[in-house]
Amino acid sequence: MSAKKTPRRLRTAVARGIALSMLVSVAWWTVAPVVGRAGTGDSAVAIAKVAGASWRPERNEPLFIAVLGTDVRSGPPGGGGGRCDAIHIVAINPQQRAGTILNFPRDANIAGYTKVNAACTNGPDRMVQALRSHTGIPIQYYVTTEFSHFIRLIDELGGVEVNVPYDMKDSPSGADFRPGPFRMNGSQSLAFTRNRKDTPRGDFSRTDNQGLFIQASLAKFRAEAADPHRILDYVRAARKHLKSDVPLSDAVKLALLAREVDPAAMRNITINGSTGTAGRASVVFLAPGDTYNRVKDDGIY
Amino acid sequence: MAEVAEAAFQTGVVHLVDPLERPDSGEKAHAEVPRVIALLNSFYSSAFLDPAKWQGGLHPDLAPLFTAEAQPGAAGNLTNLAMSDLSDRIESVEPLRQTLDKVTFLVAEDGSVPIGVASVTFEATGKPAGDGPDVTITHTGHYWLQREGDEYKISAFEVSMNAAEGPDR
Repeated sequence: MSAKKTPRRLRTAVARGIALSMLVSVAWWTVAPVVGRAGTGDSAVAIAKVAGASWRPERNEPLFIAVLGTDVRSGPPGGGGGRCDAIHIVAINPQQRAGTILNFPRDANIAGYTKVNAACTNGPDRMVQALRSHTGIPIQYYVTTEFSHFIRLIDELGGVEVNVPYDMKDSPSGADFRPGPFRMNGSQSLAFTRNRKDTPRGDFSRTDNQGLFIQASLAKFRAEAADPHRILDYVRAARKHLKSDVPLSDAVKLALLAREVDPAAMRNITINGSTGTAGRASVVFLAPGDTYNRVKDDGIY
Repeated sequence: MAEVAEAAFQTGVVHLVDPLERPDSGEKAHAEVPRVIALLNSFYSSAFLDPAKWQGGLHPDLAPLFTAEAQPGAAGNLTNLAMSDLSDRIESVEPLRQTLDKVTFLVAEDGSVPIGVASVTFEATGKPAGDGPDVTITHTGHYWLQREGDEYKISAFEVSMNAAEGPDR
């Protein structure tokens, strides 16, 4: 038996190089821009840059993306119509690979709108401007979706595992879940993110759960994108349901950076507030405290 | 002076992603492979196989193989991408394995192939300048490829570099 020679290590290293010079997003649909312009109008998700906005990641500027879901049952997103039942600002700090998901109740009463969700009826640009004015956060991009394509997109990506926080049984939304991890298909995902009646805090709980869903989506993407080839497989599934004005080459950096963000490092923050009335409408009066300023600074709460 | 070995990557799996599932996409993707091989041959020649291109560990020929945005990242990671500081103790490098293990292309809506991902394994033996044991070099990597004109450039990378004296297995 011969003695085995132990090699002397001269160098063992791993390196990653990503040109962080473009946009980044955070959910599984962040890979969507990879396919570029769909041009079909048959899209579940629209990703767009806010006019006049800029982001300079080389200066480690935080990135802010509005994530909007309308109550339109089917049809192309981003064309206006419908109210937003999902309203979020996702903030990313590229340097720290961490960030915040800010969740807004759809009935929030803000300047110019009795209920903020009405801002969507004139298109996502209007909603983004309303959120920018209200929070002071310089949102650079937005993502929009609606019911039917959202369901199909989730299904094509194999569902999303969500840690359901409590019992839900709500006929209007179709939510029927027990607490704990559960892999949701498209319809179940929609039900989970729509349910507001069988929740502890109604509209507040719904938007909080939507934030959980965004976190879960990011976790799914991150796990599956460990194989870089898998990112392009995602594209194939998302392609049919995507509309984007984001350049193709930028999207790779976006996807690679999204892969680096630890969902556990994404705080899920629902804006506090109280319910009341404005005229004859039941609304939520927000009490954000210093939340917006804290997040605006570096994307981290 | 030792003879300089040629970089000669062999192709493994060619995978393509065409959301529109057009019948000729496979053919189109395979037609792109030589461009990727050309890039890899240039890269590994400059990074490892051709001592004349090491230039004291600075590897100036590598930069043009990256997109402009990726060049700073490459320059800051030469110790993981190339011979770099090993170049002052190694005289030549003999390739053992040069494999493009898998390449995946994205076929865009207009039929172009603008993006790809290449997974690569490179193994070689470094011969020392003086007395001493050989150095076993194992370099694996995933390279994101971006089409620029008629060629691909590296827009992002994820590499693992292992160099050890003596046999590595």
